[in-house]
Amino acid sequence: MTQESNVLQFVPFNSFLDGGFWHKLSDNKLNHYGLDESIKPLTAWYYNGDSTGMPCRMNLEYTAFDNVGPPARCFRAHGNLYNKNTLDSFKEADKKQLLEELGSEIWKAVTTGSAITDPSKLSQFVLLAFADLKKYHYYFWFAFPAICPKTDFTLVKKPSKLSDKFSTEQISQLIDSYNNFQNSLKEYVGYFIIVEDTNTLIIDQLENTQKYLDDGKKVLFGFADPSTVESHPGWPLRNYLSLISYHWCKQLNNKVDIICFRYVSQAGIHNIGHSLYLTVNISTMSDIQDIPKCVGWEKNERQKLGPRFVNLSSSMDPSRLAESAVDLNLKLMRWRLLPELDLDVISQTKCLLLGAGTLGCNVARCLLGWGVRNITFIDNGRVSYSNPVRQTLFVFNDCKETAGGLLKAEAAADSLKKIFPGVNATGVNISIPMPGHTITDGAIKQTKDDIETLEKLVSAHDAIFLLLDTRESRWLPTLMAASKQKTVICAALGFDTFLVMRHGNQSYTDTGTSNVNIPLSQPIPGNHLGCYFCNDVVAPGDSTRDRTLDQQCTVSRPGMSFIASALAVELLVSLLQHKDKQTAPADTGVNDEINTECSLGLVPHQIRGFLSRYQQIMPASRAFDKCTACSKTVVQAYKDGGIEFLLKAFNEPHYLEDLTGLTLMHQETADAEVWDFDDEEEFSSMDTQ
Amino acid sequence: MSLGVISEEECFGFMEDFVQRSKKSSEPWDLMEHGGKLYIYLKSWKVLSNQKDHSKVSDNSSDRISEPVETETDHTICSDEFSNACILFEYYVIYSESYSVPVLYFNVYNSNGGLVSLSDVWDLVPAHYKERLEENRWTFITQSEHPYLGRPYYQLHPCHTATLMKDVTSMTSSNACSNYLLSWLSAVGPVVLLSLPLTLASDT
Ligand SMILES: [Zn+2]
Repeated sequence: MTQESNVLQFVPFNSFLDGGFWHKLSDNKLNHYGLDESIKPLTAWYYNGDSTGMPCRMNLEYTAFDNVGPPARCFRAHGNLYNKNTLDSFKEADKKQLLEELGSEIWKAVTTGSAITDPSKLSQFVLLAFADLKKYHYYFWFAFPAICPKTDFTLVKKPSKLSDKFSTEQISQLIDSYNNFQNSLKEYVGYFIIVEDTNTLIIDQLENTQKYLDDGKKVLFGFADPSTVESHPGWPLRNYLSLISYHWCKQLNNKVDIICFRYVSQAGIHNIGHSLYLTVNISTMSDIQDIPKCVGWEKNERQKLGPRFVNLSSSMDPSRLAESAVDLNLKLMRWRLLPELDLDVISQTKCLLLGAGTLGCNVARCLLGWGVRNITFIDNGRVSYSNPVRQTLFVFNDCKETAGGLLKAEAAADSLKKIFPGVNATGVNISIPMPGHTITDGAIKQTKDDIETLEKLVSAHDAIFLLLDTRESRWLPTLMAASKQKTVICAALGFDTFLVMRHGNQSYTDTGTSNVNIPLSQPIPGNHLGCYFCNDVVAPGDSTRDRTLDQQCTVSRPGMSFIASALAVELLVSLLQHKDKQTAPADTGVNDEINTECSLGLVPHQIRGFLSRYQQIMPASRAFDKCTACSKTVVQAYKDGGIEFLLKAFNEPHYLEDLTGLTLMHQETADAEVWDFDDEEEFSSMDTQ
Repeated sequence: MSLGVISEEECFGFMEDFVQRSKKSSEPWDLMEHGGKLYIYLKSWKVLSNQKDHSKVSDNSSDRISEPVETETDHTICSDEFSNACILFEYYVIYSESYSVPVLYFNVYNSNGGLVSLSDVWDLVPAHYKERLEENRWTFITQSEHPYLGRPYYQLHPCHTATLMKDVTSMTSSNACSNYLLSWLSAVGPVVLLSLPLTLASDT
């Protein structure tokens, strides 16, 4: 063995904290410490029963702040917590001094002999910490001070195993002796002696060492060894050797026998045979005048001497907690039921909700459930006394808050954030201009501003929900969304009927898109499907003008909004999960078909519900080439004419019908009675609230 | 018990028996008490042998603070490459009055006290249990507040426990091993890396 290689080396401690420790530290900082930076005592523990391969751990948990002592069969270490108030004072703390302060305390325990009566004084540590309780960020650095002798401790010979030194009988006797000894104490002690006494091995307290040595007995020094490395002892041996050297060096003739006591019990079998037996050269330390050198700052995860950091916002910040819980529920759905489910495409979809009424409120809540994080409401109303019972984002106080009630769009967004702080919700208070509702000169500027705002919002979102009061108010957003090729989901309620549909997604670049003939047996592709207005043969006009109040605010059965809102959101989600996204062909459900392109099943064009019969159908219809909202003619006129075109549409009663050729068509149709209105008429006049 | 549910009193009895049995094993559970209610818990440290797993749970974010490094090198530190990452599994079994079955709560921590994510935990589940994880609906996991500690824990949702235990208890009714907790944890434990030593089942 060369001079170099027989220097005794030690396996350092690795600090191991659990979440409970940080919770308790945060709690103490908030409720007890405040800005008090004074040293706080901590209790940690280590264990000598780990199997090979486990790191040499120093554990701190919830109980570290209470003086409750280590768990059964574990060993106590005393700590000083320096909890700093700022990151700067954490960084600037004098690390050398912190180490030396505790080092000198340990040295004092060695020299005064108080560590002989209470050997746990050899196992001490420093925890320098800074807790940023706003971000739940924790910075920390441990030191396990070890006193250094003038010259390194060296091994007399290679370490051997206890099983090579003692017979099987001796070992089993030693196990009994160890258990009897430790169990006779109030708490397991990490440092002890082993004395051979007429063929039996006795384990005894360190404070009896002098007596045995004076009697001429051979004393082996034992310690509970947290190291599981086959060739090296753990950190606690360092200060132990200093204590032994200081007090008994001469009597031991500069040579000490050490048992690194490792005690594994597995499947009811107790084993200490793998403990190390070391013979170590020591030299006296009693002539040291000053405080000896001290080492022991812990290396971080990258094996560098430096502090560690942990971000616990995901488990401690209440709003992050809500976020991760929502995510977890959705992920579980994927993990357990639908492995192909693409949750990211859903959560990344920015949704614009036109209307913050019964439908708007319910659609928003359902979107939250699917993990959608960006929701914008548009509405121009205020929360009125009749609203909260049907409109699930409002409460009574919203009505009396300000004169006339809070603005609905803003109140809905605020309410959504109260439900789930992780959502990015905004409310925009604008009115949507409508065809047939003449714009007065005085209102032109405001109208132009509103149109501009709406255009920007439509551009900035991926999916547009049409949940508005009146049929004609859906016209402008339908046109804008069509020209920007956004996904549109439209929901409308009658008294006991509803319509939920996705608008077709026409490309407008190829010629005659909507005239391409697709065999009737084939489902209609998504880019050939119609919009809300395609079934109409009249342009949207002022549908509220000639009606009585109860006709204006169509009253529906209260459950209808829940049903339609839920279907509207599920339709969007199904569409997003379809391989072809917006161009997904329309399933009609007539042939018990199974949609293999979408993990969630069918993706219909329209869902029409009849609550009186508790029945739903899924018709699909083609885009109408004379549609006043989505036909190529209108979209092109809007792209070319912009605001001027829109003003004409708002102000001139027959402008849209003339433009699209509907007027001509009406003239050509001698007898309007032949038109088959059946359900269509019911739906075209159906409004929401 | 034929319905797969047990009373609180029965459950506490099983807990006491379970802890007693586990005392002889390498991973003894502890019996705890909170407001007159018994519950049991276990802390279990496991080494990540695999380098892939290792990188997954180690946190490199301490790079954000640069620090003057201690200049003096200590050559008496064992320099063996022995820095195996190790993670802590913390399990609690608490009786649920509303479901009349025991509920398993657990968390998994890195050495810095940060939580290991559930998907990373499941990556550690041995392959032959993964299949079970996929197909068994009774292993449904949610995150909820620990009823006594008030901190978030993962929870094996109790909604399927009774159904599962109805089958298990009827199967093993003639068996000597009659501890409900033991049968239940043996069945559901592996999917959350909780494996019980075989010695627990022996009635000696
Ligand atoms: Zn159309």
